[in-house]
Amino acid sequence: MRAALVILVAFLFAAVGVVWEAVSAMCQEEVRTRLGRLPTALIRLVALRFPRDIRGDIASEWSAMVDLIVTETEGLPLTRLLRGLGFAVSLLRISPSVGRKLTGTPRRPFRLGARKVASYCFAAAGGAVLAGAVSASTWQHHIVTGIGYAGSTVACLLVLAALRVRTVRIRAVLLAAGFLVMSVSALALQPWWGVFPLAVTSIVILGLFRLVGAMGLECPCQTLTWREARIASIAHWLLYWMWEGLEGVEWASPRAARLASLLSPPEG
Amino acid sequence: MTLTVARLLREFLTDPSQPRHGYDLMQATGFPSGKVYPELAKLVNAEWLLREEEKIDPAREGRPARRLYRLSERGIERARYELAVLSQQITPPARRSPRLQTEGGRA
Repeated sequence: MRAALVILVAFLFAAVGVVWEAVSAMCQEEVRTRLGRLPTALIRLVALRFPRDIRGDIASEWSAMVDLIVTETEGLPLTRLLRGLGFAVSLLRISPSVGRKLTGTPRRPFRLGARKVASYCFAAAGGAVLAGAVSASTWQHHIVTGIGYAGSTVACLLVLAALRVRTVRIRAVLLAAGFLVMSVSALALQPWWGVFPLAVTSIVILGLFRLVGAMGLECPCQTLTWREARIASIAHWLLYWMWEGLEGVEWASPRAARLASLLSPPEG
Repeated sequence: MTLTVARLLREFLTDPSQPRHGYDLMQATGFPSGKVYPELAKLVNAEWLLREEEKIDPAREGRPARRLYRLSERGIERARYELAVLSQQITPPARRSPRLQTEGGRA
């Protein structure tokens, strides 16, 4: 009986040892493979900084170079990793404008494509419709106010395009408009929040736009630069205080309060 | 013209008909990728360099097609001229041999 137990324990130890060896070998292999792919992943990351129309070209050029490094350093995993990482990390210094020069692709003029108009309007009017829906008292008003906001956004876009305002400005102004309507809707929902939620809403909106961009949809600020963000913030504040001056908040707040009272559960 | 550009142009001029890729130029000049590619971009933009995709069948070769750079006709002329000017500008002046003068002045 005792001998059998000893054999069983020895067998178990042997089995654990074998499994441990196998798992550690697999872990090593996994880490080695992941590290080997790190330069290519970095290249893809670097390429994301470039405008969408040249991103693929740039990424394929540099990926081919990483492939060459991998071929050259066959059997030298550490050298491969260091050279690959050195190549990829150094590319982080390159500014996006270099990509256009490198590929000989001119900066695309702003064209009022149907998809672009639709996506801009969707992005800006989404908030507008929400603001309209919150601030209006009846469903007819919801529709009318929402269409009013969305219509004014489209009109703004068309006027800006007709004036041939630079794309950068258009995106910034559209973003500011989106901020404004969302801020107003937030303010209408929670009138006592004051100025603080404006900043919060701006961050949330920026995050939402980024998310839409990450999902592969066209969005006004998916490649927003800091300069554009600054223009947008200033424009947003100017628009907001204009709205404030026109007593827009006072107009929206009672409607929101009425809506809140309608939604609140009956007392008693 | 910067020294980086001059070094790159010199590499291209060693065999102007030979297209070169970025990593090849990095190895030849010892510059990192972050320095080579912006300079290549400037030269492509100035139409001194031509950028073209390697004509291979990636499936057959077992590797992706590379982007190759080579000097344009104008680029060859300009590069030769600019390198010659630069070389002339940075060549140290010829050392003057000290003249021996007679002690008592001219006779």
